[in-house]
Amino acid sequence: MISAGQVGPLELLVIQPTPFCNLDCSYCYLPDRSNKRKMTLETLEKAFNWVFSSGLVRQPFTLLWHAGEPMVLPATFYEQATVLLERCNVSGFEVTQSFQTNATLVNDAWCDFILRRGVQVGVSVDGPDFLNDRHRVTRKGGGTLANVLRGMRLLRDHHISFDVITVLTSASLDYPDELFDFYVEHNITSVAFNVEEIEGPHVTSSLSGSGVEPRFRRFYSRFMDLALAADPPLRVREFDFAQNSISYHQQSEIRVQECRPFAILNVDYEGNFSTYSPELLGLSSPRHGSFALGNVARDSLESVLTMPRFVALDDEIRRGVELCQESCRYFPFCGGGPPGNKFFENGDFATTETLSCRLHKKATFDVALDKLERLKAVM
Amino acid sequence: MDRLLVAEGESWRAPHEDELDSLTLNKPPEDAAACFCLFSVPAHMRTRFWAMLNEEASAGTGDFDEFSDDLAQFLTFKELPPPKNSVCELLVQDAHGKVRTGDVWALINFGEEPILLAWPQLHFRLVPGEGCRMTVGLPPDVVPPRKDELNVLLAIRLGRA
Repeated sequence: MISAGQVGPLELLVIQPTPFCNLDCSYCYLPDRSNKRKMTLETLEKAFNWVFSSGLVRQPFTLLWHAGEPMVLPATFYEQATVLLERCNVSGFEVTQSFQTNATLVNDAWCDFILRRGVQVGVSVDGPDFLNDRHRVTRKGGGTLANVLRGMRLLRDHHISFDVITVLTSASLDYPDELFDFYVEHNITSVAFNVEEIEGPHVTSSLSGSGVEPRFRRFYSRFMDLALAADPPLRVREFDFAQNSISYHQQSEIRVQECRPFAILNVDYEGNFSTYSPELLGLSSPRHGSFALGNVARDSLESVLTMPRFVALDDEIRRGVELCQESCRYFPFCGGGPPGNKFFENGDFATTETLSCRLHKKATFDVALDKLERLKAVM
Repeated sequence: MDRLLVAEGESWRAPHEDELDSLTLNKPPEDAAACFCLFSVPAHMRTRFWAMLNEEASAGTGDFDEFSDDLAQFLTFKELPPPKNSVCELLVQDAHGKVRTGDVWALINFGEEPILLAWPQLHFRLVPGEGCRMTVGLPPDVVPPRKDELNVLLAIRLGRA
């Protein structure tokens, strides 16, 4: 049996204010992104009360509004949400609010809210129009870059710094220089690369074909050469992660949020909650049933921890991490592949390598190691 | 496409669709070197090119060799590796200048105006930031700019065996 003390502490609370997204990106993993329903303030208050009374909050954490386009709802919703958050957070834990947004709906009211509340912003954009508009499209199939750039310009005009997440597809791999130019042209100083993953309803990836891995390594190596030579260097999340893993792996064990029960808590617009990979929320499998483990209105953490469904899920995910540890030489620097990717690609959490492992972890790690060795050699 | 012009008597016009079809390929050729191949030089390389020239002009420290190596790396990534022993040459052409193109493997327009490449019956405008790998055995003339203007080119010349 798993006790409350063995889970958490909460590091990331993902709240889905609405499943709806105004865009229709071809690689999106959200199964319900045409659903325009939204979370009520009553449900939100229950969610906050659940979180703060669960015993999971033992340190500062991040509240990420995501899993649908959060800016579909007006900024006033988040004003009210912030008041609720402060009211429920009776012990005064530090909570950083963060938005992962496509930036097409940014306006002055949003900028005002972001500045006033110290909200962190991540913008999803895939580079120049011939890359971005190939996959990141409106519901009528039109390109979105012009609107994204307008939103990014507005953020910058209000002196709001933001990070960028770019999803790499097969087409991106031929254009490291063009991506680098795009970030420089738009004053983007920090970028994170995701790879087009097989997740939920997105059952194929342009990156799963043969010959992709050497192309990916070639792309990433070229991009990092440009990023490291820039003045100041362009920060790349994957490189920073690899560098930190290499620097500190002997001092501390890598603990992957997605593999630890309730380090991440995902709450959908109806108050249903899950843990582990956020992509699992709203999905189910014949063997596991729904990955939603309960609802904030009626299920306590204690009741979830004794559920056979959760115990079986946790056991399978743990076995998957153990298999990674036994079989993968990158484990000391990775800590185990994301359970969501294992499930969507391999059909089972108790498995090891995925596309995400091969590209997003192993290839980026190898390239980072190579660059760091070269940097060391010239110092 | 008004960048590609074909001769019609004394004047020049855009090619008709059938002419364009016969001049361009829709799929990679079996012998890539037999084709005139266009590429874009990224903005960061164009910026570096001018920074390198300014550095050379102001302090004599512009490193053309290093820039040439970086350009070769970029072209290699784009699967257009410069031939072994090729050399880069900076060319500035005025209204009376003539560019020797017989041994040019590729030309890149680093200036701010289009450059006109001329073959018999065919003209092509190479826009700023654009480069081209030449067709083997069919070197074009580089049409000099108007008076008071300069063409700024980087030529990659085949090295001597």
